[in-house]
Amino acid sequence: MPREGYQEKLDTLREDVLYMSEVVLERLRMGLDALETKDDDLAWEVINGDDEVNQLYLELEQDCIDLLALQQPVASDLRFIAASFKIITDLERIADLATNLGDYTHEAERDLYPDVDIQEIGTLVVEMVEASMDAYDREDPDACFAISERDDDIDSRCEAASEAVVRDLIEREVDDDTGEEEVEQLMADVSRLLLTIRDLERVGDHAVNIAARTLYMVENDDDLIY
Amino acid sequence: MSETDVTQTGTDAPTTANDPQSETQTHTTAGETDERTQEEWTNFTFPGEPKLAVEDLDVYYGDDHALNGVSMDIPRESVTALIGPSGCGKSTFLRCLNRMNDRINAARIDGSVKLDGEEIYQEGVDLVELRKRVGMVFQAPNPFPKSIRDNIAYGPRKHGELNTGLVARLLGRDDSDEEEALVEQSLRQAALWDEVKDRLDDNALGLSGGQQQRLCIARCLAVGPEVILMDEPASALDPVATSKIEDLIEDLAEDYTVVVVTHSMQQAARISDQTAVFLTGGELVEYDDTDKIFENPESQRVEDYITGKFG
Repeated sequence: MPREGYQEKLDTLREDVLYMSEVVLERLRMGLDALETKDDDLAWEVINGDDEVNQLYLELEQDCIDLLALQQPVASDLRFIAASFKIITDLERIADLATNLGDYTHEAERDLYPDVDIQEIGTLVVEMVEASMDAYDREDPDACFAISERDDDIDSRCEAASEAVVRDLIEREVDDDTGEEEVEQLMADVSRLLLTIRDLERVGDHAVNIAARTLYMVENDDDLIY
Repeated sequence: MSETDVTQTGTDAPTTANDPQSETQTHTTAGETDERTQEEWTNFTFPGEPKLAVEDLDVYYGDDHALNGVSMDIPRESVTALIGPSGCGKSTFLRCLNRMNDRINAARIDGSVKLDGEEIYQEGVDLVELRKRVGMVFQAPNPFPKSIRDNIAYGPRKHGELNTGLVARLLGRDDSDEEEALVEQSLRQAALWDEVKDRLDDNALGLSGGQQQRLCIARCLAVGPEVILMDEPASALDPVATSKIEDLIEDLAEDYTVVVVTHSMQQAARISDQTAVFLTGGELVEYDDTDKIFENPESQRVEDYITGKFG
């Protein structure tokens, strides 16, 4: 096959994007674990590991720019590079959200609202990211649509969870006898929980973005892009 | 690579697509996921009447079938690029558009080419008149070994067109010295005037390659063409001269119908409005808006060709 060097660079980019997704997914799982087990060391590992992800992101971005500038890709090659260029941004954002989970671990001191199952939502969004990267790897358009549909479930779960938290806050009896310190703690816990829910919901959105770019890459179909 | 190409008969499209043998398969049996036919891939439509309408054009050089049933309409006042590997018939096709292949004795041409609805392959067509309307610029600049001025004025002088009204029509005004005015206008249109205005009587062969090519374009413009055919007009030029020719082609498309054969796919992508891809066997495989061809071609063979997976 002609242009072997070019083909190798395309293959390398694909492998590197998949590698970056593995690193990011690992960070996300660690962030959720840290939150679950209140493991401060694990949380620090996630937070400190973000530099590595940022570095990977910059390197891959440069690889994409080099391919565009030096190889003038067209057709499916062009769509592959354009999609990869966007997907690495989503991966980088997911890693940022994973570090947020690390931060929340440090702040959390007690369990609130055991009926709001953060871990369940967390597991579902991790699966969505895995599925979207699998669709990218296998160039599977059907999987892209399936991921987009799964996001509706995530959104409604997150909405229900947020509602439960706010409703509980409203119904909680805070009166003049409640100490100032306890009120502040309550506010901090509630905001953190709401942020956690929102961050996980955002991870789901990034998984949909990855699926949308993958669909464009495979079929030149921009249906899922917004 | 994952698109199922209707020109592939195997179920494993990526494998067959890389098989050089598959290039010669021209079946149009619909694939499982794609019901469109190759005929539709080449059926590029646009508003308005085509400047050139080519139908079922076959060209044989002896036993060699150089063009195989090509049909395509070329829109006016735009740039149409013809691309494809060596020997795909794109230059043969270009030369058919002003009957340059008539000069090749062994060539046999079947089919129809209409210029503004008039068949150019009918008896009684004045070839000199046809080639004034459909001018040609070649790969290597070929100015006459005469002055810059004489290169431009040669055609109009030879055809006795000075002071007959033609030049006034080209210029859009009456001018006491029509030749002088025509030389200036043609050189300006070819973006060469500023570089040569002070040495119009110098020999044209003293110009640089890029200037010579623009002089050839100016010479072509001086006889008042409607269509300009260009066969690899920049392939012998350096990047700066190439970019000047490319800018010029885009400017010319405001007033003329330009058809360009190029080996450089990037050049086709840069300068053309629509692109026709010819592949081995003298076959037009896909013809569409240039961005469509380079972002999402329908044919797997076109995809493989433009991404460099064969060729």
